[in-house]
Amino acid sequence: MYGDRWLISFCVKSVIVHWMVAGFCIVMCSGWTVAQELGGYWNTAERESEYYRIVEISVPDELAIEASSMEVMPEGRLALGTRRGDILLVDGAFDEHPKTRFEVYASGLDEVMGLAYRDDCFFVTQQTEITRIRDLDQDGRADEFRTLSDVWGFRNYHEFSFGSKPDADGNLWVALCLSKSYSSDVPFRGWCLKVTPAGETIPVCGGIRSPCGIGPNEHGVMFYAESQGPWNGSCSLKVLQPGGFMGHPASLKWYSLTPELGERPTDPNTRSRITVERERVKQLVPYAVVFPYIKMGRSISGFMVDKTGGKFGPFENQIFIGDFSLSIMMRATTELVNGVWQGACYPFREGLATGVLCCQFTPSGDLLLGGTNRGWPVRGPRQYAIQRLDWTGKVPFEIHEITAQPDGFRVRFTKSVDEDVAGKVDTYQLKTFTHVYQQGYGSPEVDETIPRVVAVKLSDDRKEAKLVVDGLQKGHVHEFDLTAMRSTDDETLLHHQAFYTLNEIPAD
Amino acid sequence: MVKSSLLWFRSLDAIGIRLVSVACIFLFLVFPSVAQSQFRDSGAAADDSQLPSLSAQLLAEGLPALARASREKGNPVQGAIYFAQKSLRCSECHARGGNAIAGARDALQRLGPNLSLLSESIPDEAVVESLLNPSARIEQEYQSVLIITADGKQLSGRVIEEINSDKLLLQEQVEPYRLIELPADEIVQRKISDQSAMPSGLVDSLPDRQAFLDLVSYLYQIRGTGGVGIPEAMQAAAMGQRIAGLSLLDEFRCARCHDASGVVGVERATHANPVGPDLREVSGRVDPLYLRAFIANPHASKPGTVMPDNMQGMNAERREEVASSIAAFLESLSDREFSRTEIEEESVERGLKLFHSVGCVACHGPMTRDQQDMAVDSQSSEQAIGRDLTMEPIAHLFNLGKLAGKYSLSSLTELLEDPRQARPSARMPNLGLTHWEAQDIASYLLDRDGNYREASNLSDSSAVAVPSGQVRGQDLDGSSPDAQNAIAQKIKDGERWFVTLNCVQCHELEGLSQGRNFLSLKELDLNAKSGSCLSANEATQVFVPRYDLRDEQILAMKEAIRRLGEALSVDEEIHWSLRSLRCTACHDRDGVGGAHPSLDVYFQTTNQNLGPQGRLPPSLDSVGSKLNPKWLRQVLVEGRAVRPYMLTRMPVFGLGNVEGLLEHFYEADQPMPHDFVQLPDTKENRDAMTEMIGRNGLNCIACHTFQNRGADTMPALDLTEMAERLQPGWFYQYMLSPQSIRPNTVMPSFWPGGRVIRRDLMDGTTPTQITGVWNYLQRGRQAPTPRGLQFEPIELLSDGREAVMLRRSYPNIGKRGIGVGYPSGINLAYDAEQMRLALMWKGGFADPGGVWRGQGHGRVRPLSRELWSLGLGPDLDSERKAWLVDDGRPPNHQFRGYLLDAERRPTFLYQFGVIEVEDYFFDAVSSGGSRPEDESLKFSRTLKLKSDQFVAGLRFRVATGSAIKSLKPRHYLVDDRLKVIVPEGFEATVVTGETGEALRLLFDVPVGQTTVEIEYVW
Repeated sequence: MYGDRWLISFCVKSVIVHWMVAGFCIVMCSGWTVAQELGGYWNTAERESEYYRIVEISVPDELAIEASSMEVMPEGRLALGTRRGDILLVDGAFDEHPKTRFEVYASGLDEVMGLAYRDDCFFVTQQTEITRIRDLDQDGRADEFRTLSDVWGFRNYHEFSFGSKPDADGNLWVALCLSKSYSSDVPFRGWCLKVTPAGETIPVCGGIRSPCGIGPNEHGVMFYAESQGPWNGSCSLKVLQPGGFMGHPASLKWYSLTPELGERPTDPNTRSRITVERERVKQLVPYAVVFPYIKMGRSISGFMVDKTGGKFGPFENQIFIGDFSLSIMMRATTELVNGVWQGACYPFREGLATGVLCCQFTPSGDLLLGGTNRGWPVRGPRQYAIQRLDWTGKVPFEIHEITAQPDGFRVRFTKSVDEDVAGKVDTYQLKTFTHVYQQGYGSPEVDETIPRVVAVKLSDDRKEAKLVVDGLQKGHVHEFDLTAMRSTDDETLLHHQAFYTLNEIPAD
Repeated sequence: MVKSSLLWFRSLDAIGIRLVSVACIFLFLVFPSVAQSQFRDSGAAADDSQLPSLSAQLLAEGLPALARASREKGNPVQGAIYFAQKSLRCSECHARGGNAIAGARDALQRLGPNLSLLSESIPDEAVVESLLNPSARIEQEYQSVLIITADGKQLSGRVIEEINSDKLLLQEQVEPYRLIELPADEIVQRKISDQSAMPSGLVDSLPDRQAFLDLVSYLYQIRGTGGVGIPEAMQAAAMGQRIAGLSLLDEFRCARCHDASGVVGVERATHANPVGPDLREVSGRVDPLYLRAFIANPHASKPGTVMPDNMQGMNAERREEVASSIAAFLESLSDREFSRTEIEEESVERGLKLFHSVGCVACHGPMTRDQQDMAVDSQSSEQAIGRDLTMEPIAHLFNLGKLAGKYSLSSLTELLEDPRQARPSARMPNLGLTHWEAQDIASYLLDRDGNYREASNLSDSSAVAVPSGQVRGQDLDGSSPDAQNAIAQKIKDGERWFVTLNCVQCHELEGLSQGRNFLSLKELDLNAKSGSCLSANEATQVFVPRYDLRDEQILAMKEAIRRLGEALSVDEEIHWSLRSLRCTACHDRDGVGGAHPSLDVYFQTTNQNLGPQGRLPPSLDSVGSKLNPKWLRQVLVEGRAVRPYMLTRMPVFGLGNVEGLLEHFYEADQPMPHDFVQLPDTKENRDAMTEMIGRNGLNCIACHTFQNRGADTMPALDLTEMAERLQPGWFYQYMLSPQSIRPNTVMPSFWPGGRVIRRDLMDGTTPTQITGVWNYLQRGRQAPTPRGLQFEPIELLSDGREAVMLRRSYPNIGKRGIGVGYPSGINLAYDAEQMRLALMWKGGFADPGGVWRGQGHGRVRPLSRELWSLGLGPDLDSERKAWLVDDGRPPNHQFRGYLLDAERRPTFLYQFGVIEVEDYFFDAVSSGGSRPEDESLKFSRTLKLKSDQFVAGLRFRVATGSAIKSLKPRHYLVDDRLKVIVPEGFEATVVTGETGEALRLLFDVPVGQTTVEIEYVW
């Protein structure tokens, strides 16, 4: 799920060497020490709170509730799955001023990283297996635990399993972390498998490293959240394309067990680029939304699409995704361009109490977040917490969405923009970079270019700017800095940055 | 800024000269004793009542020997912990550290001398003696006097002050340590006691001799560290009148009318946002009756309000009329309705506690007068003799007025939850209350007056000026056209008056323009006898606002206005902000501010061991040298807090209100110098740093929290947040001398005066060691766990009624283990990868720490040393074509889950080829014979095999061990301790293999169901 802490520091040093080699000037603290910050703040929490309030969901002291998955029950209760293996039913978590009551529905499970409720049954993804759980005698506590699938090997505690909610056909998708997050010692470590309601298990794709969230994107296509590490220069959202290759070759050996998927992909070359290796390894699926390290989280985690019909503000149908290390929430949008998924990520809310592992929209359109700071470095100060983001009803001035155009980008805002400011090409500062695609841990940002916005056309409602860009870089992350932007009411953007991963430039 | 760094150099100087007492150097030479003493079993040797008391033993040993032993064997770190411990109560009477000013203030509350102000020349033996025999010598200042009063009452205490020889100020030496003022002519007899107020047996509450040595060695260390004065220019008086005046200009919002542009200071007053309450939602917030009454006569409704009376010269009737129209106008601004809901009794109780602990008291004072049960002590006899000065009102406290008549439960709750919504100036800051806490405090405040219910009845039946729900300009349905016209006209009048009476100056409303025809602050005639806001006499002219100002307020404001053109120093700007934002109600800086002695009791902590530092908000001296700007910003703007033990909460002010203050702090306080060295980032160095933090090093974790895991003794600040908070220079200097930077701190120095105490760590030099600690801290949340960190044990146990279960890794099982603790006190672990019974044990179930801590890389630990462990491989297999056992998955077995019975015992389900298997264990007490000691625990295991085909040649492994004896038919003894009984009708065989013996059943499975019942008896 997350890298080992010593290893991170080791690799940070190797990153520093890379930077030095690349000729960047690094100014470390004050010369007498080398320290790796967990990550700077956006420093936007106070302004964010005007639009999205953090509401505490109190938990009883005697239960150490390390929420790792959530579900809304048909009768309007919250169900929580925890790292300690409990399933809890919670009354009151959706109330405006929550006063909660917890009931233990099941316990003794192993890291509940996926929780769904369908047809009076829980479908639970735990380390060992996917389990269908029922309360046959209707006393409020589970008594039947049926193993639906445990085909994957499980030999190391770090072999985490993350399960989706059922897709349209009722299948659960499970993303399996590599062994110790580096190798694939037992079957299907580093794979995504699909488990049907009858318990049939279908391998989907290999190449996963260390997932920490799985679910559909805003178009209903299954994605997962991948962490920075070997073969992953930074965290990213990736599409779980059947037969695709997710980028880390350690798991490819299990093609021996999946004749139906055809030929095993060629191993990628290290110290290369995704764009280059895509030409060589035809199954390699480019990473749809790259979250630049530290600027946009360090261990992206659980995500969910806003289907609240506007109850959560202006970002309906967008992906909301947490980060474990930095205790923040971000947004992401995706689109299919030339048959390839890509999109952008945007800062959303910081200052959460603990490492975010999972999130869940409530029936009233608020966003519940849960997690823990156990085991890996986390910025949030609490050992575990459940919090809720409530929209205050005020619309923040934000970059709503960036989409790719054949000759540039379309940038949509949540509010109409000042014509003079938004009409100037200088208002849009762009930079591009990519990561080294390599076996080593992570990657610095490399191959930086500075594209130029040469023309801007505003929509009639002045909420959208069409940018003609000179110097689009296929395969690069395009970093937008819109610090200068102003709304019609002369507001500055709540978050002035966004990052678009341009795997493909749309055909005309 | 120059001043504060000067101050700092002076203190260094002082340390250099004073602190390097030879004593400290030896203290840690015997450091291994730290570890022992820290984790020593304090109850160990204390039981034998035949032994003389500890103090008697120590006295017998003699002062010189003890003084020497303390020097050689005492551990001052542990001593510091004892000092703060509740049982000893040292810090209740004695301060440690403190500068001249703090010392002076301390004098009022401290019953014993400030120990760090003690001269360094006091001999070691005297320190020892003062603990063992406190009455041997008593400083005159701390002598007790016994007083008998004219009406025969006896009082005892220490004399604080004799006022003009006709009054005596006496502080009682027992809780609640009241200050009592006695007229001299009431005193009949006055006698000096030869007994110290310090009880003589205190030492006996220490666990043992070593603890005494520890405590003494700590006193050696702090002796002579205090008394560092601060430059006189910085003292309170210098900050006096002008700053007070500027702050009052903010408070009374003078600049809302009187232009302040071009005036030094005011222009830079970025700290304050002196805008009045936002009235757009007032209809839902404030009782309409109160609103009218308050507008008509603010000073009568709420004495002390900063709202002026702008209707001078109007008679009462006219006032009513105007106020009523303004109220009508304001109520028309929103469709929110005012309504009262009921208050719950428990909520009031909780609110009372919260009000008196979270910090409300610092500005609003305790509510003891209205709540008899909160009164500290109000025995009438003492009251008759003298006034209890701890009950004196404090000048800066804000009167809350009659809240019950003003707010509803919901509106006051809303206000407390986020005061800046209605009051953007943040003078009432956000205390980070949850909704329910806000509601509790609101309930308490409203209930306090006792007439909340009465008020609700009143407002329900009253003729409200405007029916709520009406917005300006809208049709007013439901009433007659005349009435509608009258109301519309009234609202219009109100709007006009709102502008004419200059209400709009402070209460901005969209669409209403503010007046511009006011004199600028500079142009004001400060000597005007009338017609001015600051005229001492009540103005009688219409439109000249009347403020309810006290004389000293007027003087201060005039002083501030007179000197508006003069530049303000950064320090003055800081003090202006601190005062305006009321920071000084809790914090001190440069000797100004801090918790008022009479409110001291309301600053509380969850852990007494931290001493005063654990309950009193920290001093702001050198805060700009101490905290990183980003951190301080988060503290002020986002409410980041690191002291969970402090009950008083640090409020949030909003960036706009504190931006200037933040800048000024960093302008005034310069980074402190340091002697950090460059340490190569090698594994060796990293390990050495980690070692230094741990138990065998400086043992920082004895007191400090690490990654949210609290230490045994006290929850001192989390090590993993230090480097994010602190600046390197400050940290370096703090390490050298914690006491001189933070008087009152429990933190001992490991490098007193720069000398190394632990030469064995790193290269044995001060700069390297401090650098090592700092580099370790800089790893923040990523710092490796120091050795010796104590975990609170976790025990997962059956409650005796139901089984408890945990699926994780167990000894002798791969990762797919399922542990079950049965109600009768026997336990097993099943391997769901190999379908086998893998472990059994008696006693408690398990410690899941290995899998519930850290990343979860460990195993669940059964709570028994005696595990009955079974061999690898599935229990059920084919006799002839058995799987060649390894630690992998058997190919023909598939786990299917489990079912729970009514007491949550599982029935494990699996498939072996075509056979469906159920494996169920039931725990029971077996009565082996007629005698009770024959009773033993047993598992009855029921195996059910279902098949729709005949399957021949199966084997079932019942048990494994190194020796299995056959006792009689069907009865076997495994390793001489476990009895196994197999069912009739099955062939049982003991097989000897490489790893030991196995008891197996051999059988065929017919179509249908086969049941096998086995018993395991201890």
